[in-house]
Amino acid sequence: MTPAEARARLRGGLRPRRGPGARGLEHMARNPSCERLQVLTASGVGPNMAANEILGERGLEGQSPFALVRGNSFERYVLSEGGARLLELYLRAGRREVAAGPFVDLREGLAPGLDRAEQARRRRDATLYLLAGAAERGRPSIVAHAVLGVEVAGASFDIEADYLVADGRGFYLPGEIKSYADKASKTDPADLRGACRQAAVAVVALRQAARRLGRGAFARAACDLVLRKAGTNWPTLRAMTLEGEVDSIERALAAAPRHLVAAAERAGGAGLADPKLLLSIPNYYVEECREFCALARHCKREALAAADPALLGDRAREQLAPVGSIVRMARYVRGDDAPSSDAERASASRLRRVVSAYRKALGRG
Amino acid sequence: MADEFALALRMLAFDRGRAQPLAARRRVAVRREAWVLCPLAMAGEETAVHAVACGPIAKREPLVYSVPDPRRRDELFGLFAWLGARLAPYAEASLRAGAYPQIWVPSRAAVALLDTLGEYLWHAPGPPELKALARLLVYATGRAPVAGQQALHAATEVLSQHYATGQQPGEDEHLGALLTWVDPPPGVPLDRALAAAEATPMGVRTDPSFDKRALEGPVARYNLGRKRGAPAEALSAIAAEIDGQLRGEVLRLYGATRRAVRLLCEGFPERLGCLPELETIEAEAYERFAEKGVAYARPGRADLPRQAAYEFVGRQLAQENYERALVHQDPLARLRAKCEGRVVEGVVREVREVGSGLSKRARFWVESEQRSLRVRRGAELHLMADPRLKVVVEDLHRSGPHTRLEALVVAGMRAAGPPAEGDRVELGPAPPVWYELTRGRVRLSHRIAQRPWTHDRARAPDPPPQAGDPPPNLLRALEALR
Repeated sequence: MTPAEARARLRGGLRPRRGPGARGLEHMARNPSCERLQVLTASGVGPNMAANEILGERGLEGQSPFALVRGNSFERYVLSEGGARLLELYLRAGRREVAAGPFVDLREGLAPGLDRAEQARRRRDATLYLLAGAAERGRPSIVAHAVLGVEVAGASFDIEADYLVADGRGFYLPGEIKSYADKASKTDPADLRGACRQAAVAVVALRQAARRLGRGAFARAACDLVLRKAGTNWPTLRAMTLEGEVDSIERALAAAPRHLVAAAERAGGAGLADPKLLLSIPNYYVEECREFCALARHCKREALAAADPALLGDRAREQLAPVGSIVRMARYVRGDDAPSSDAERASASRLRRVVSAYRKALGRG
Repeated sequence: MADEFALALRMLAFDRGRAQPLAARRRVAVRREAWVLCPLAMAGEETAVHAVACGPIAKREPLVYSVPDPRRRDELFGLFAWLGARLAPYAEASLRAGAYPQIWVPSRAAVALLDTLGEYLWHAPGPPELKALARLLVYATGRAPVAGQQALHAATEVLSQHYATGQQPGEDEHLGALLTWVDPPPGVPLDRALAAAEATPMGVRTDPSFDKRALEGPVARYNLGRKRGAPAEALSAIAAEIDGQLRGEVLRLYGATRRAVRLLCEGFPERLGCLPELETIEAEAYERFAEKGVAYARPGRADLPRQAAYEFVGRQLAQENYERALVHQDPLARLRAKCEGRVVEGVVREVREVGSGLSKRARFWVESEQRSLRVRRGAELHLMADPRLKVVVEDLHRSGPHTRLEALVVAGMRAAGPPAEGDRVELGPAPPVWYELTRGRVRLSHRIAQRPWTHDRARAPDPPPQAGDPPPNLLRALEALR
């Protein structure tokens, strides 16, 4: 079975309104051990649709309307006036080759009234055209609102890069504009991580495009982040390297076809619309899931039903792996049950010693 | 294994359906005059505080202030001025009384928000109460990373230092869920109570669903009204509607924070022995900041090299002292240190005396059943029962199920006396030395009087010699370097 056939079979009657986007793809790479997340993302269904439409639960709320307004207005501000502010930012950072321009915004010049898909198609074609001639003289140093295709298990999903910037070696790097507060070393690491991982998806898309174009140029694992000085609208620029992020996304994309085909073969004739099939795909609940996955609440309930050690954190999952259940380990420690293997016995005896010393220290004998 | 203690307690908490104490004594001072401060910012914004509830910790009903749209600078600064006018007298009174201001906030996210606000307001022009607020926030958030500080407490962080829950460590940052573990509601299954608690927002920014449901409409109407020059009464009515929505949110945060403090005081009536010293250090730090620190503070900008060096050493010493104090004064902290191998527990064997007269010393073996010890040769350890006795670890090896450690007494031979054969002893770090910080600063001032070569290109050392042929016996060559 090819990945495309597997995707079609798993989707069945489900019609996702849009692809996973850069955010969905970077979420997929955050938990590569979760087959359920991999299958949902690679099939284009996505965890949010699965929670809302298949399981009938409340998914993630998405962004606040105020946060959306803030993010959009900051992006507009940075890219307005023909990119003058962004070019000035590069000039102040000493990157004269970028600051020299020219600046191109692919949203400008599109005929009004075009539907979303057609707009994306035209911008994708324009982006490919610019990438093909990236090394030529006079090419834009900044391409705003570029659309790139990322191939995931035989299907191409569109992602939008806030802008692409000339890397000085005849190709482009992605640039991300985020309205997060730039507080130098005190910038929220979660914000930075999320922005970098989204940019890493764009790097992967650029590499795929370069291969398709037969270009020798190779997108570096790096990006530029434009953040906001706290309490103001002043943009700040920082160059980031993304080796680890790009590697993790490439690994996740490489594994996607295997997960997709395996799930479709297990499914027989059923599709993901059947909750039983969805829940039969193994998950891997980790601490980070709450941050990004709409199925986290459901997976937590499953973990609770099994008293999965993951409920106590990722380290507890490793330490209690030989036993596999918090309740069973508690029974071993209390002496209600006897461990059945050497590994269980060793884990239980270590914890029993600690618990006994703890009771003594508390004065409970 | 290093975190077996935490794992065992989390497992117990899960099994028993209730948080388990991680500490035997209360580790923070709760000032009777302390204030609770619960800011609630607009989503997507880092300085736009939409509403705030604050008040003395003893007061059940807080003062609440909200603005219709904090993205409007005049309204936002009105809120800051209001807050400054309430907090500045408290900070001044604390200084006059030779004490320090103490602020309680719901979570670590609130500490981060106050940190951003402090930096922002420090550089913003404004009336004196605004400046006073900026000073207080810069002081409190500057102290927040220092171990043992008493100026700014996040309820989630403090409770997590005292209780282990049966959930993931990251989930402990939700104050509602944490309180449910510490004090579960009677007659309700824990999983149901937790699900209900988790569904209630406790963040420092408004929840997206709340924004869509309750705020987006009125805020848009308010802005439209202002744009179209709507009458003041109409705008006030919308502002009252927004205030009504936000009031419930900040009151919930305020109530939860006060409840956390109450549960802490009830659960841990006995205080850590070093709290008076920590409070004195805090009062001195606040006095120093009020007198000199304001002139040197550089919120939002990198510290000057000298200032950074002092700050770094100060934090490091505070961390060491605080950890030592915990091990010496809290039995559960000591148990944790034993599990982690930082404190050695064992039986004394083969005590013998070496030297004579005043230079007489004792040497003995300690036979421990601990599997892993974070001790190495040359380490200095103190007898936990009488820290005047100091030993140096001379040898360390595994022998069957035991770890044997040879110790030579180097101090306290006469004052404390060596342990006797067969005694069960605990050896651990030195007790805290609270004025080490002053001595450390003096030593540091000598060390940094001259710019080190690492910061001076002209005095950079010669490059390392080029690698030649490798020595025939690499192991012996390495040993020769020791």
